[in-house]
Amino acid sequence: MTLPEPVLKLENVRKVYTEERVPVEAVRGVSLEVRPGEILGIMGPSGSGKTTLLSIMGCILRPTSGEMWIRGRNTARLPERKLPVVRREEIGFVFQSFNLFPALSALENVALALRIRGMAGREARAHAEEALTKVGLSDRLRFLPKDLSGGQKQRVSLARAIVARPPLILADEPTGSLDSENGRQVLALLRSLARENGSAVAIVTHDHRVSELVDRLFRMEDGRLAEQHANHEEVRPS
Amino acid sequence: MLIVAYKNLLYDKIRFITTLVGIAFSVVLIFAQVGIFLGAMNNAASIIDHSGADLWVTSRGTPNFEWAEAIPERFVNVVRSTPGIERAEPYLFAFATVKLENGGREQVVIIGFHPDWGVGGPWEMSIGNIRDVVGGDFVIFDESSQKKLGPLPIGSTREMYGQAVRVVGHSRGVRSITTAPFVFASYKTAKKVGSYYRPEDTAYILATLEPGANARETASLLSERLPYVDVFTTAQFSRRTRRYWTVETGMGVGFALSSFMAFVVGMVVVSQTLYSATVEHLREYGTLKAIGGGNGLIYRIILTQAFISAVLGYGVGRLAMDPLAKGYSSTGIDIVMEPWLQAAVFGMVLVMCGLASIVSVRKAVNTDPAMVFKT
Ligand SMILES: Nc1ncnc2c1ncn2[C@@H]1O[C@H](COP(=O)(O)OP(=O)(O)OP(=O)(O)O)[C@@H](O)[C@H]1O
Ligand SMILES: [Mg+2]
Repeated sequence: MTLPEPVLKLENVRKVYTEERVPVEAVRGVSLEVRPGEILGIMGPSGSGKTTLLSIMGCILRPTSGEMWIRGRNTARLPERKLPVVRREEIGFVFQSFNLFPALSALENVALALRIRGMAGREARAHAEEALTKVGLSDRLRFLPKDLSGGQKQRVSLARAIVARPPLILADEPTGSLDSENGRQVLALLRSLARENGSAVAIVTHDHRVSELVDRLFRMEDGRLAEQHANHEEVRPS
Repeated sequence: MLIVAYKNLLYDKIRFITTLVGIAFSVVLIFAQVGIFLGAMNNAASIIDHSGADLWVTSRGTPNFEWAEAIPERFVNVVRSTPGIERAEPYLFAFATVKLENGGREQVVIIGFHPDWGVGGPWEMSIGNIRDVVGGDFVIFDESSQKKLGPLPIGSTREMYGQAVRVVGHSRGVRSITTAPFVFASYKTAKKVGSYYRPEDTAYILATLEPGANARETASLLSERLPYVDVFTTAQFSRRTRRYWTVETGMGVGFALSSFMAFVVGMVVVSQTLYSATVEHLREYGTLKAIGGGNGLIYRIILTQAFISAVLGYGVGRLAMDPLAKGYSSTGIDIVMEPWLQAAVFGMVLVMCGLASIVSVRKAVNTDPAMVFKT
C-alpha cells in the first residue's frame, strides 16, 4: 500500500528577510511532508521562525529558496498573482487575533470565505450557518464580532477556516488570545472539525496542551524544524 | 461579495455622513455656480430670444443687449424699404429710475416697443394685455420687480424721471442679467422716461422678414445700406450677448474656476474620508488577501464605496438644490437645473469619487497579507 500523496511538501525551504539593514535568516532549510488529515503541532521559542514558516506554507510569503508543493502543485514557482487562488482553494486560516470583519455578522464573516470562492450568497449563507452550528454558535449568527467573547470570535474564525473544507488548515497561535478553558475548547474543536473534513492541520502554538492533540509534534529552533514525536497510527497507514 | 463595501461604509456612520455632506456640498456648489451662470446667460439674452424679431439693427460694435447706443431713428425707413423685410420698427432700451414709496429710487430698464406689433414686448402677461400700454403714459412691470420696487397694483401711479406713469399690467419671467427690473412701455412713452435719447435717435431697430427671405442675406444687405451700424440676426445677437458676459467680463472663467474649486474640494473631502476608512480597515484588506481575495476584489470594494457615496451624495446635494433654487429665484437670480446639467454634474461626481478612490485603492492593494499574523 502506498502512502497518500502529501497535501503539503516542503523541500529545503529557506527564508531570509532582507527588508532590514541586517538580513535575517528566519527559516533555515526546512523539509517536511504533511499527509491528508494529519494534525501537526509546531512549538518553539519566540523568534524561532514559526510564523514565518506558517506564512510560507500558506503561500502568503514566498520562500527565498527551496521547493514547495501543495497537493502536487509547485507553489514556490507560481507567479505572485496565482497565489491568492491557491490560498482560497487549498487553505483555511486561523489567526491569533481572529481577523474578523467588524462590520459583518458572524454569519457574513463565515459566508465571506465561500463568496470569495465564487459561491452564490444564499448557498454560502446556508453553509456558513451549518459551520457555525458545528462550532456551537447557531444562536449567534447575527452577532457582530464586538458582541462576541474572545472564544466565540475564535470559533467564528474556525468556522470560516473550515467552511470550504480546505485540504489544509493553518493556525498561528489560535489560543494565544484566549484563556485556558476557551483555548482548550478551541483546540478540541479544531481537531474534531479537521478530522471530520479530512483536512490536514498545522498549529503553531506556545500552548503545551497541543502536544496531546496532535499526530506529530515539531519543535522549531533558530529557523530549523525537528520532529519530536509521532503518534496516532490511524492516519499513518504503514 | 460587496457586502464588505456597504457594511463597512455604514459601520463608520459619522465618516459616511461626512463623506456624503462633502459630496453634497460640492454638488450644491457646482450646481449653484453653473446654474447661476447659465441662468444669468439666459437672463442676459432673454429679451432677444423672446423678441420675435428676425433682425436687430444696433449701433456699431454693440457687445450685448444692455449696452445699446443711439442710432438715427430715420434708418427705420431704409430698413422698411429693403427687400425681404416684412416690418421694421424702432425699439428703445434705456436705463431709468423709479421713485419708491419710501422716497428712494431704484434703477430699472425701460423698454419701448410697438404695442400693435408686439415684437420685443413682454412674452407672457400675468395681469393685463400688452396692448394696454397704448393711449397714455402706461407701463407694464415685470411681476418679479415688486421684490425690489414694492407692490405695483394695477392702476397705481409711479414716477419715472419726473414723469408720472400708470401701471397697467404685469409681465412674467422677464429678467435681466444686471437684476435691474424691466419696465415695458410704448415706444413713445419709453422715450419720455428714458431721457438720454435725443428725439431723433433710437436704441435698436427690430425687423421681421417676409416669408422665405434669408436672414443672413438680408442682414448683410442692410449693413451695406446703413452706415455706422451692425445688423445681426436674432440668433447672432443672442450669442453675442452671451459671449460678452461669458468671455469679455471674465464671468465665464470665474464661474468655471469656482465650479472647478468645488469639484476639487469635494474630491479632497471624499479622498480623505475614503482613505482614512481604508487605512482603518487595512487589516480587513490584508485578511481578504490572505484568505484568497484578489486585487480585483479590493478594487471593486473600494470603487463600490466610492460609487455608493457618489450616488447618495449627489442625491442629497440635488435635493438640497430645490429649496435653494427657489430661494435664489425670489432674489431675481435663476438657477438653471436642466436635465443635461443634472446628468453632467452627476457624471462629474462619479469622476470625482473615482479619482478620490485612487489613493485608497493603491493603499489597500499594496497591503501585505503577512500582516494577518501580527497581533
Ligand atoms: N518582516 C520581517 N522583516 C524582517 N525580519 C522579520 C520579519 N518578520 C519576522 N522577522 C524576523 O524573523 C525571525 C522569525 O520571526 P517569526 O515571526 O517567524 O518568529 P515566531 O517563531 O513566530 O515568534 P513568536 O513566537 O514570537 O511569534 C525573527 O527574528 C523576526 O525578528
Ligand atoms: Mg509568531
